[in-house]
Amino acid sequence: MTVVFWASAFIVVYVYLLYPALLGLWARVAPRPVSAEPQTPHLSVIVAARNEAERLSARLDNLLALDYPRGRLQIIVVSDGSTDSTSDILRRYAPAVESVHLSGGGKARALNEGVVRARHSILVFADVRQRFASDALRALVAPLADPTVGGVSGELILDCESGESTVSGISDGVGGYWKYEKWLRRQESRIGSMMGATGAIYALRREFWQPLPENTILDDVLAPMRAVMASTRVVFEASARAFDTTVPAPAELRRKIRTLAGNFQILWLEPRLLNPRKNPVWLQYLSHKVGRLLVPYALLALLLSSAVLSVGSTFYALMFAAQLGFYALAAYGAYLDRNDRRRLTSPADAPPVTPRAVSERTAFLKGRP
Amino acid sequence: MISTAINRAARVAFAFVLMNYAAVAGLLSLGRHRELWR
Repeated sequence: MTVVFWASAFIVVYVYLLYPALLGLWARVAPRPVSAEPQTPHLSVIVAARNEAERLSARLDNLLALDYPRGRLQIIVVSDGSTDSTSDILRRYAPAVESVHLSGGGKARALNEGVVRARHSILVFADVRQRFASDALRALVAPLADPTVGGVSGELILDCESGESTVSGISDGVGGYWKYEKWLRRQESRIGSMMGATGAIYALRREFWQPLPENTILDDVLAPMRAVMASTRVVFEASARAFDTTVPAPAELRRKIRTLAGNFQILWLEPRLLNPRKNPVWLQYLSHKVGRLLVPYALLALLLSSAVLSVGSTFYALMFAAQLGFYALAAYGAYLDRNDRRRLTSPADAPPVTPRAVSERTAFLKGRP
Repeated sequence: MISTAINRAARVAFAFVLMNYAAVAGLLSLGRHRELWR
């Protein structure tokens, strides 16, 4: 039981403290700078959309107003089985915006189709939900002047990071987590490559694109990691900014479930990621992505083992009490969040997360109608 | 001041627990639909 306790403690501490410390040190001692230069190559911007009539016009206006030579920009929106007025809106924006209409099949299929229609050698992926800063594309492509760079991820800025969120509650925690996550990504980029990209804003050289399996959940991890395994770098560019709003806890939870389900799925779709001879960022991938998947089980083992060991040991009793204290604090956080949500009547305030709701959401992402 | 700090810590702790719950729920949701992506 002692071994279980210490092994579990090591996993949790390594993933959240030791690995970041190691990464910070590594980035300081052996950085790999990127030779970024201002440039305006031809770009194909690809956006997948399903039933996005409410947000699509604002998104397209945003893309069309970007500070980038209009003649060098191809904008493709793939409507994936939309049943609202998404198609009508797209017709209004033609020919400035090219549209593809699919009967359904999921986001991965939509992106594959978008890439087929792309005419240029640099692909930029974006979602309908977010907005780009006006200079985002210029900033995004600058690192691609370095021939060792095959992909660039921009920075997604959540309103809760600047205290502008109207969704208080969980946004404090999410904002803190997102800042931590971006710090990790920045350090990983400095020593080589990120472990994926930010789906809201990333660019990839077309030569590194491989069609995604139709049921792929995390295209923004699979596509960049395939590029990394093809011996190129995927780097982080903080000045390529996209903006998003924080959603309430239930919606945020669904998003996290999707992300973590996707991280499991990727190991199945691309097992080479676990092979140190195939994955040049194997250690980082294991520490960052796989470690996160192991931590919940390590936390459970830690709690149970310390409970057992606490009988007759002050040290383990203290460890057990500390964990109970932490979970009590989290329960208080849940209470605060619930109170905040009761005060707010946000349209995004979704019903409680149930297994059925999670299944329905993942079914869309996997391409089920 | 102290209560603000406690509230903030509580929200961060809640976010951390949610994230770990999501990892387990993510695995379970994939398990239920494995045939869709196998």
